[in-house]
Amino acid sequence: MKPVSRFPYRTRLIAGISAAGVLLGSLVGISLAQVPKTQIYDTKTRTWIAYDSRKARKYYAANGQVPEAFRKQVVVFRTAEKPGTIIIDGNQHFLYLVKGAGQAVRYGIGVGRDGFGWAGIVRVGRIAEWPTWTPPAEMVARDPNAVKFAGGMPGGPDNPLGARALYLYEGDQDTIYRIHGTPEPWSIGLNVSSGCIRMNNDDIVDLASQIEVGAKVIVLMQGASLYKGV
Amino acid sequence: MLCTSGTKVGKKLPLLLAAGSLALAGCVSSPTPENMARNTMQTAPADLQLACATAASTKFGADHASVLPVSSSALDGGKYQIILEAKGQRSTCLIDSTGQVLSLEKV
Repeated sequence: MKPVSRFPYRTRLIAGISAAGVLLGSLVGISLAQVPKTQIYDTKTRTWIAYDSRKARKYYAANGQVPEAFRKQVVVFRTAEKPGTIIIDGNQHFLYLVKGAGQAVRYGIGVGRDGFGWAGIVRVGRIAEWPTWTPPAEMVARDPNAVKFAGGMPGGPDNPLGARALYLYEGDQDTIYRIHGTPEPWSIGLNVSSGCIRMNNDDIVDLASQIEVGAKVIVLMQGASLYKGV
Repeated sequence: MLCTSGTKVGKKLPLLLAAGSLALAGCVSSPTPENMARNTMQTAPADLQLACATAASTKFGADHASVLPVSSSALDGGKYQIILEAKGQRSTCLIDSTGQVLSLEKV
């Protein structure tokens, strides 16, 4: 999959989503907290180096995919959790789907930036294919280009939620957090979102095909600003 | 071994440092490609964090669904210290890389 081209409207959309996240964060009373940053191993210098947005874009442009550690793979994973459980390691930027027999499928993810990381035990309340994204009212008021999507941006390759969205619930309440696809696959491995868990579109389609509504989701995040379901 | 003459150390120091660095680099094995990512705090692997949570729910009689690992750090010898929280009660867990819980105490 080639890098998605950038254009001004998308930039404004993402900025708007971020701003909305800040507003939402202030509304629910979360505080800014530092979460660990990503490092990748540089085989040339044999050292661990910072992996930030600039390096991630450059890597994706050169390779057409994210570093191997963030690609889908089956790994050893010893756990008492039932098969079908989703475990998110927000610090390592991995999402595990427990398969049983000491194994899990591991996917790379992008998570909330400083102040937007959260942890907890929730469940999948709903699954949507090519979901509609509705910009927050604040964004619609500020950005004239968002007005046409006030009633919802139809699903599609440019939609910020990507190919699938798993809506995370605490009991019967929507947490407002989702595990979803993204039109920005280069951002996997980074702390970039307003709290949602993002995956590349192929991975979220694969994950969504294997889980059921009601699946348990455990979110681990050192430096979390908010806890849900515990 | 590399340095046989004290008087020549000054002139050869940069060369020796470079050689030493290379020797050290040769002694440190590179991670496999699937392990070439980590975070700056080197938090414990997720399965070890959850193993501690399971052990805590058993030992302290807490609801399994309410015990959440909230912090972790790597210690010497491949061990990890993990802080758990369950309904406001914190506990600390020491676990090795094989998943064996070495200690578990309320804070």
